[in-house]
Amino acid sequence: MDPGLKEFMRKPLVKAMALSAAFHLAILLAVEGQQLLKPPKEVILQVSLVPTPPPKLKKRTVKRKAKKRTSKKATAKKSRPRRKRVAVAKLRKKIREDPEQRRLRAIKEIEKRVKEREERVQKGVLDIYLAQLRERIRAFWAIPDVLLKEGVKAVIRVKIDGQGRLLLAKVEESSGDPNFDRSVLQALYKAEPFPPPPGGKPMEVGLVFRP
Amino acid sequence: MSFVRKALLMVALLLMEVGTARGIVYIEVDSPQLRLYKLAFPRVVATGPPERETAEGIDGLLSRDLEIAHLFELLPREELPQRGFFLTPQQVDYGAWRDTGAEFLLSVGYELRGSTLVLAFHLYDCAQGRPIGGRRYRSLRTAWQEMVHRLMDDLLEMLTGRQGFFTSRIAFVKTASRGLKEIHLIDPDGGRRTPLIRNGSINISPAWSPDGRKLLFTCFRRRNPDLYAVDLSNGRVKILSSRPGPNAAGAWSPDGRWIALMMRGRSGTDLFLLPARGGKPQRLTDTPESETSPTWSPDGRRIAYVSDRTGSPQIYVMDLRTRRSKRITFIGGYNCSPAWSPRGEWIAFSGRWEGRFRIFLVRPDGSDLRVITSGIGNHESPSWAPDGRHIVFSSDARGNYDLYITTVEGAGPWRITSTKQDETEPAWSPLLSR
Repeated sequence: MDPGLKEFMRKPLVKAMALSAAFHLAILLAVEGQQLLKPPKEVILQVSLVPTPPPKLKKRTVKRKAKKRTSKKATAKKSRPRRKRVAVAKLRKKIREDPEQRRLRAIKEIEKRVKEREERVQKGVLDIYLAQLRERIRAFWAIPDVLLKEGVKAVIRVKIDGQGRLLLAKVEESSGDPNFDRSVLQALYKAEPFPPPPGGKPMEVGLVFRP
Repeated sequence: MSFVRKALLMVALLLMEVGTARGIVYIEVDSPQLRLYKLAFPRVVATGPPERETAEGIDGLLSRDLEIAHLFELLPREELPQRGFFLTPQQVDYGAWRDTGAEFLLSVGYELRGSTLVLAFHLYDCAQGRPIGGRRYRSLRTAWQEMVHRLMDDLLEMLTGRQGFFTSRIAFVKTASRGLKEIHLIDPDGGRRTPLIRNGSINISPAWSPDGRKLLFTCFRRRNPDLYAVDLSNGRVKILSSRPGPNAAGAWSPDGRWIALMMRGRSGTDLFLLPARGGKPQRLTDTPESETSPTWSPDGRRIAYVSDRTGSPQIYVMDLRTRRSKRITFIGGYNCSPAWSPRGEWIAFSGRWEGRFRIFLVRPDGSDLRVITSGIGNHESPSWAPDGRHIVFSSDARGNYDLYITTVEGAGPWRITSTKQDETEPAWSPLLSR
């Protein structure tokens, strides 16, 4: 090959390599530097903005650090382009996101948390309701000793309307003794009206009667 | 990879949603109150021209039987609605009955047509507001007690799945003048007393055959206590065993093939098995002490009996295959008259406790001993009702011996005889074929 041509080829390659190195360094600095310089408060805020939960992210950073310490060339090469992409995306997002948008996001996040808490409260309310229901039915369930047998059990499915009225009582699993089943159904009819279900919504419950 | 995971997650979520849409929450309800059913039983009403005496007789007997059945708490009659009607399913105002707290309503009507009596009942589930059943009986007016008993048995079957015992009979020994003893029959509520064996001699230890058609007893007519059987359909008496010495305490095996009895052994008395159709008796025990009062387990494989081989009368259980015996009572110095329950779970007996005889229950393995009677007097000779829940016994609580009924929980007791003479050794019949 012509040596002049070779030199010509070499020059832009060197240039490109140098540029690439500089670019990489800049991105690396941007990624790591951002993380190093950020105050902890901001980290939390940032974390809450992305869908991944905070403890996982912490783990990941720890992992990354550990990886770095014992880094081998193969893993470093593999993770670098992806990390780069993520970092670029983050940067772009940060540039695009103005404070107004950020506030909206925060509000959304708060709303989500409130909803979660409400769901938890609702579950608690349901548990309390079921306990009340059980107590009410138990208080009305009476059988003479003759009907008590070892291992006897009946399952009844009931529908209760918003006001606590009994809409339906269906024997899902009979005890095999019609008189035991009757005592159980009588308990339901006597216990009616039940406490109204939470939120005044009709509900369906399975009742397992085991003396 | 992450796509597959996402897809899997989606499927899982979908399944979960289907699950919650279909499945419902199940809760456990336990610990019911153990109590009697609340029954509304308004006065028996005439569906034709009323007849006060008949109405009062039926009403009184039904009320008593409902109490002895020990399944109901009768609600006060003054507070009942819809009084004075024989209520058909179309007429029942369930709301009104439910408001009284009644769980069940028993409406009974009668009609007299000459010498014929028609008795009918309807049973209602007040809580659920629906009829359970009803029946109509027709017979001679003089058989009104039997009709009431039929009604009771059917009613109890409707509510417990098991026929009641009111059509069964109780045999017992009645002490007559000059020390003579007779065997009589009586209804479980104390009605319809009829003499069965009255022969100017001493007749003791009545015992029913498993089909309820014959009765064993021991009679001293031939100057020796011999074993006889009487056929209840025709009153014919047959001698079964007449060895010198006692031929007593006969007990028919559940399959009807054998009679266990006490006879004289080499010294004292021993237990023997006598073929019911006649033949040579087999020896069951061979001890220098006395054995008596055999009672069969319902499966016919074991016999409980009394022996004084340790110096005091105690209850033993013998396995008939191995002929090996095991002592099951250890408390008290005098335990006698064992009676194995019809379902096999208990042995009732009379035991001396603080100077008086009480009715005890014990498991056939000797565990779970309990006393079910209390109060004044001695309580002796327990015998099981066919329902396995009631027990008849004799007691001198009111001076002379009378018969009383209690339950395994010690309910009552209800006194069913009240003569000046002694009534002892009751034997409750099995369910008699209708």
